[in-house]
Amino acid sequence: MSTAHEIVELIKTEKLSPTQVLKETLRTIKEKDGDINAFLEIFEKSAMQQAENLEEKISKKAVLGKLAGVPIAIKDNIAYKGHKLSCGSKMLENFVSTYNSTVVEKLLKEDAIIIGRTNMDEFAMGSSGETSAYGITKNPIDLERVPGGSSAGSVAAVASGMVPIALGSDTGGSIRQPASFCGVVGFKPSYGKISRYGLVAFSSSLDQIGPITNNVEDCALISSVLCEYDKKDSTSANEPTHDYFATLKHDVKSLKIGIIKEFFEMEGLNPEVKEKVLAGLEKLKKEGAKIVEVSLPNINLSPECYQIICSSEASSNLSRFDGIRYGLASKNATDLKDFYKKTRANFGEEVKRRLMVGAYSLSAGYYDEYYLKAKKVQQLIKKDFEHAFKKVDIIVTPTSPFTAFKIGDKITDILQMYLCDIYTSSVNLAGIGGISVNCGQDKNNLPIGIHFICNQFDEKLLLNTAYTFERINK
Amino acid sequence: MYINASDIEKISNLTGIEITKEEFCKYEKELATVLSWFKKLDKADTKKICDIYDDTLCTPLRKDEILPSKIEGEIVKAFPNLENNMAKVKKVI
Repeated sequence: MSTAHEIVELIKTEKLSPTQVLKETLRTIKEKDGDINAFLEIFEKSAMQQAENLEEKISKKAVLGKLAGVPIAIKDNIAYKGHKLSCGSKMLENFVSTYNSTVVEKLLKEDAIIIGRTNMDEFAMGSSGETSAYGITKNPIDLERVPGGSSAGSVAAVASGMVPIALGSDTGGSIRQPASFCGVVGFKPSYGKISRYGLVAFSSSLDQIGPITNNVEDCALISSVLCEYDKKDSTSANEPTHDYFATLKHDVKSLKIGIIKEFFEMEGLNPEVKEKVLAGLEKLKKEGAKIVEVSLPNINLSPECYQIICSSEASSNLSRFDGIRYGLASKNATDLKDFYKKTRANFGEEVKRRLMVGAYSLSAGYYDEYYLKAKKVQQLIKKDFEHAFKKVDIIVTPTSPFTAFKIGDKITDILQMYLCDIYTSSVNLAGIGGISVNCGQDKNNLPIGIHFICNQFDEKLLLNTAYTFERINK
Repeated sequence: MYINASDIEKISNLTGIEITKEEFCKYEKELATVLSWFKKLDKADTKKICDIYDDTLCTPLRKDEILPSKIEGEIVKAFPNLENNMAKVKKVI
């Protein structure tokens, strides 16, 4: 499959028509998705309508959008008016969005073709793509392995060449960790950089929409469209917009890159992952970057801190799925309380567990011990990053301590699964940006991701660094 | 960390999730494991951190101001099922 920026160029120069691109995309999905289960639904009718509208625009010589004709998949927690949205859950099986999310509005305005909704861990709770009510998504590199999660379908759709771009959401690593497992680019900008209007809330203070692409250029192209202030999202950041695609440059000369001592000394870090990430850093050094060791003393507490905060926020956010406001409704209830309990028993195992943990952490007598403590540790982690960014411009870690594991290997071990986010969740807790780029393979040919982290709203530098790395690592 | 049946009962009421007798033991064990793991946070020295809000955790929020709005019609139109210009909802019980 061509890259997104190539598709735009071919369509703008009329070497390829939008319907040709769409038909080829639909053919590829039909050929590949039976094995992978990346898509929950293909929006064939509306996508064809969009392609035909675009052809009409071309025939009228109208100005085309920045994403003209690019087929884009969206995670099943992003609202697209008139289309189903289930969050990978039976609770929302027949829910149809009544409005467009801001990101969908932006894609449509720039003439992208929204091709379908992708499978995900239920309500974005999971790191393997195994907790969806609609079946496991498989890793296109090795079908016996997980693609990572929670944006499992979005990442698998891009990695298998079904689409050049997909949107995901990242609360503790849900874009970057699967991107690492499948060898693609996954970008989580700073909190507030992309509007969350129309994204189903899991943990509102940590959730962030972001793109998944096959290369940094496409990532910069779509980020130029998505990263903009939105008055409909009260936490949207009113920061200047950038054309990240036009300003991409190969340059890391005199860039100060920090490596987090605590992460590279961690016991669970696979030696092959460590070796490849350090080799990647050496390449950047040869290009003129300066590598500096930084210490973030509280960073190893990120997974515990993250789980308390996200579970607490989820227990509040998901209270709306009660069968009255949203969600399927139990038919066997005897009274209202019984109705709620029977209805909400339809959540999957992982969601129920997190809601229970969250409710407990917020309950009288335990609030100070868990939730308040976690919020304080979050401040320590944020301060650690602030100190580090006084010394360096960019921080590098592995994206995940290991490569993609076999389906079923970790699903019964709760803590092992929660530790999948160990290198990524601190970025969400600090509200800063991170991107995962492939840096090689292990002995089983499984992809390894390198994780670049920027200071708050320094996405331009982050994308330039990732772009330079991608070029020198080819 | 010890979690007993009455804790699970309390959590079931707080979350509004029915937990069957068979699930009680499973959740007792799992929640105890997770809550014990959370105790690792006790290692962090948070004495100097004030409660919840301090300037280091500033979520960018827009001004809270009342603006004129005429979206009632749009909201009503967004309902899938209308009767006499009123939203018709499903019977619950």
